[in-house]
Amino acid sequence: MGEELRLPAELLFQEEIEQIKSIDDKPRPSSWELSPWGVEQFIMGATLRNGFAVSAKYIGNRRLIQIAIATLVTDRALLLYGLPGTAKSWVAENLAAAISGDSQLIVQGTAGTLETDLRYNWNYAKLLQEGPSEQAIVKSPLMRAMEMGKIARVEELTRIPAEVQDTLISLLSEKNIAIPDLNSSVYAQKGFNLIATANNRDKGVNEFSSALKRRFNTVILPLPNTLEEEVAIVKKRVADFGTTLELPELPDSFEEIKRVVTIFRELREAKTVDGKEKVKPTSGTLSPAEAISVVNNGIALSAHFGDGQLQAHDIASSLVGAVVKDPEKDQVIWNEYLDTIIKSRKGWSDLYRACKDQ
Amino acid sequence: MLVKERVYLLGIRHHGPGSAYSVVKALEEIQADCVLLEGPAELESAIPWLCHKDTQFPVSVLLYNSKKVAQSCFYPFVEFSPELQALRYCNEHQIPVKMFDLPVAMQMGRENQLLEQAEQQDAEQRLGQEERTAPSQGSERPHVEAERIDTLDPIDLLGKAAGYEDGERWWETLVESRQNGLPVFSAVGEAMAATREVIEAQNGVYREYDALREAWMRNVLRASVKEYRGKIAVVCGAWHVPALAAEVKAKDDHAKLKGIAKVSVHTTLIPWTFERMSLASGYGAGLRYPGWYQHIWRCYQAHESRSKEQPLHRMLTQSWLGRVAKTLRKQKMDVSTATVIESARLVETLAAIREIAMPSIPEFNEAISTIMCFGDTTPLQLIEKDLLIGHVMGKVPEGAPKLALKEDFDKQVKSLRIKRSSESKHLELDLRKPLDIQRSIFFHRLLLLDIKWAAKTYSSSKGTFKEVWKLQWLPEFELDFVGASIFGSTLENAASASTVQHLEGEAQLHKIAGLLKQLLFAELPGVIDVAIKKLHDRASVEADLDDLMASLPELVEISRYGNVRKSDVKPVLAVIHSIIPRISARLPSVCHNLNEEPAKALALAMEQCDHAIALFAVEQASEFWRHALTQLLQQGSTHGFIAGKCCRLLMEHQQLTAEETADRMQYELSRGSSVERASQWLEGFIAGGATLLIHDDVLWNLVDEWLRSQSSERFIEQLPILRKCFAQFSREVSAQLLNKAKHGKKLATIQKVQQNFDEQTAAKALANAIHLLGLYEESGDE
Repeated sequence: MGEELRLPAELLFQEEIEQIKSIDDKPRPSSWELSPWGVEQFIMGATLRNGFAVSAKYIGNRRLIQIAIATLVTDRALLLYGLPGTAKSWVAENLAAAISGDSQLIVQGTAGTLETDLRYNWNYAKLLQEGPSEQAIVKSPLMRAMEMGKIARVEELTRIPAEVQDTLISLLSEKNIAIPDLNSSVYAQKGFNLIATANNRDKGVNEFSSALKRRFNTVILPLPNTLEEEVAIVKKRVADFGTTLELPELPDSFEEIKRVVTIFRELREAKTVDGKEKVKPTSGTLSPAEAISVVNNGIALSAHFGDGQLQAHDIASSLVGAVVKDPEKDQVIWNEYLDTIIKSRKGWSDLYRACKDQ
Repeated sequence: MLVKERVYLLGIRHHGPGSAYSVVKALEEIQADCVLLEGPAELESAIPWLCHKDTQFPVSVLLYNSKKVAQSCFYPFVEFSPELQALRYCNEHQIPVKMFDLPVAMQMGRENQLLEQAEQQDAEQRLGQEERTAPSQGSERPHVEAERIDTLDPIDLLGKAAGYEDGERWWETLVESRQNGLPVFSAVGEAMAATREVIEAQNGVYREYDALREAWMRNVLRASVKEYRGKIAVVCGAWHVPALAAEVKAKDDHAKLKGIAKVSVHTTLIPWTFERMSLASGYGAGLRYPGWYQHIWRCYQAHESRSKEQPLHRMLTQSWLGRVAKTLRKQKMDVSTATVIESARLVETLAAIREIAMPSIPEFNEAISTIMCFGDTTPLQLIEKDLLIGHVMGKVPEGAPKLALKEDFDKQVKSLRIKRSSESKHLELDLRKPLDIQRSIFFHRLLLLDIKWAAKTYSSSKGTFKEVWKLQWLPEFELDFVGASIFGSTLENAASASTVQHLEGEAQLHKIAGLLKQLLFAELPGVIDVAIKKLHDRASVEADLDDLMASLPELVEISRYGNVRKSDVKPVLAVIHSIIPRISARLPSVCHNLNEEPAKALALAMEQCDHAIALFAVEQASEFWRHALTQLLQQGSTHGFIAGKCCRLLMEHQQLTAEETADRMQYELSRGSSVERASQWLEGFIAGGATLLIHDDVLWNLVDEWLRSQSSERFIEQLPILRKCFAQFSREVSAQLLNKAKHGKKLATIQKVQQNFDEQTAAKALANAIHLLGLYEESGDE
């Protein structure tokens, strides 16, 4: 096993999957490791009837996850859409882990993604030596997923150039990849499906053609509704990362987390949490993922350089860095926010001073 | 549920298609001798109309206190109301029907009694009496509608207990599994008894009022049992089933109902809409999604006729999604057939995952937003309005009992020979003809009641004897009569009472003036006097300057129209005479140091007042006004815009000569005044007068002279002012200005020609001209 930084979901939560499997008696679609009910329990968290507690992977609307699972049960592809940092890739990974036991059949979409990355490539040495043959083919993750009847993932679908995106159209409707050179096709086995993620915030995004759009069921993962929900998410993930990255244990830093999350929410929604004052929003997305990394940074700083307690000056530097993305406009907005809102809040004077010192 | 061997209690959900379907099946099985329906006794007179072939649903039976129209209640019926379906069945098979709920006459009588009691108690309390003994009935404060509302929907409770979203879905599984007919009602009866026991144990007797109704219902049931030897079917809300099955002594019930007052009640039938079905009514809480339920009802019927080849829920799903796709396509969204198929599959899969037997609205909405709308939930609002609720309006057949106000209205429409049509048509009225004056009065009265059938458009002729109305009849207006009828039973009374109420609440002078104008046109002399008195009272109070200025044009208009309408407007003249000096006195002080926006608003108001005062044409009043304008002009602290405007107005009234104006302009735009003020002054001077600038040579010359007289540096300094001022003109106007300027020379103003003027020829020519143009000597028209 070694000292991996981050294990894939199926290894990280191996025990949970086993436990659910052991009591799962509901009907299972072909090639699925768990039944749809089991997958739902895995993602949303539950206490199983044998007493085992399954942790929640996604904190949010249960119905969205149900729609995602229902989509994968039918043979429609799933598209998870939304702002960056709303757990799209995380949910995709966990769904693939729970359903197929393998979340690593993944194609990362970039502007340089080629058709061969989606279909197959050739081992040119062998090709030249033996001519076209089964062994000379280098299979893409998609092709392997099809052969094994597992879930394939495509990340950042909108970054892929439009011409290459369209390869997916016939792949998704006919569920096969033709290999003209060998005069054969690879047919998808039952259990194959595709989960794609895309975010709608970036510039230079290649919009889907409507033919491609039609082949996906789109589920939009929203930002957390309430402050409490967001704090719960951040708290949980910080704890998770703490164990994974072997960060030293700190006494409960709930208050700090709450402050960071509050600041992010207010700057995002352009008004204070109690709704009484208007705030100018910044240009960045300030998603929960960024809040998590701010807090993690803070913990690392305080553990290695500080006094072991998570304090305002530990999070101040990464907080300012996360908020101020555009150096001109955001800086002005941040200063204004600092001087009007943070300064006047009771008990936040330490944070104010720390941020001012940055 | 069967009691006493021959009484069948069928507990239903009002306006529930599942209940409607099951009730008919049950009635077929029972073959009763008599059917009792839940509904006040007064509904019996409406039964033939409800079963009439020309009646289109939804309609509502409106019952109101004939002495106090405001006290009313309504009972809506839709196609899929179990009561309606039961009525129809009985009508077809000639089974006698009785409406066996507490009569509305007694319901309203009781409300009035309680209201009196409560008022008495309040009075006693105010007299300082301690320890008010709260009688058991008086502790509820009655409101007209609130008391009669069952906000508890017992079948919903049962459905939710079974894990469904609402009672309707639960009932559908029963219908689907073909457990309809009598067995369903036995189950419902037992379940309801258990539910009611629990709730009453927690909260005591649910409501006093329901206990009265149930006592009455038991009385009627007993009487029917005695009267008919055979089977009796009772169709009522499920909540009441246990009460009707209970063994209660007749004399206890009679005792409860003693001493309740009665009022006289009128029964009318009005068309209703699906949107209004969400309102609480005599039948309890409203129906949120009538369109959806109607769809279910149609599916039941189609399912029957196609001998059940497809499971019901599949038929429901596919037809619903088909309709959704059609609606979205109308909005130019591309929804292909494949998409509909995929959505249907997702709906069923979701239902399977959630382990519910029948997919419901949440599953449909989720599938629609995920597949048809690519994750977007905004089109769902459209679906909610168009499909879930639906835009359906019913129709009431000719000859059905109507509201008194509507009767009066229909009579007048006939006698005035006005055609009603749903297309927009124009009607021109010549107020010299008696019929047209009557029509004008009629339309104005409708306007006072806020019934928007006729809208006044402006006629092109200058005379005040012409009026043009645009008429378009929309079915919604029927419902406006319901609201209006609380004010009276004839158009005249209702309009009067409604306006009196408006007047009481109105404090602003210009609004009162507006109402007065409408009253004059509607010829309601009683109210006119009230309005004029109010006007006087308000005018004599220290009123807001804005209010006074806004009211002046209205009042002047009234004083002019008064002549044509032959109304007495002397009091109005007195008010005008009192207002003008007050405005003139206060205006200068108000204009000190204003900001730009209020200055512009004030300038606009001033322009309108100026126009009104000019129309009024009374020298003394105009004198006051001109004095005010001059003062404003000379005051240094007046905002530039206003000062400029005053200058222009005075010039137009010939109070300032051209040279004086030129001097003024020079002074205001000179080096000493700030660029800002100068530009505001110029803007105010020219504002709205671009065309004036083009056509009025005097004005043009003025500006031209001044421009020329500037030195070149001064001109450059003033460019920003000029730029700001002329930027407001549109491109065409600017082109015209440019055109005119290109000619470059000073334009000759029209000189008065005094030579060679032959009076006699001129007189003859003038006479001919008058003849040709038709400008006859009329009494004060032009």
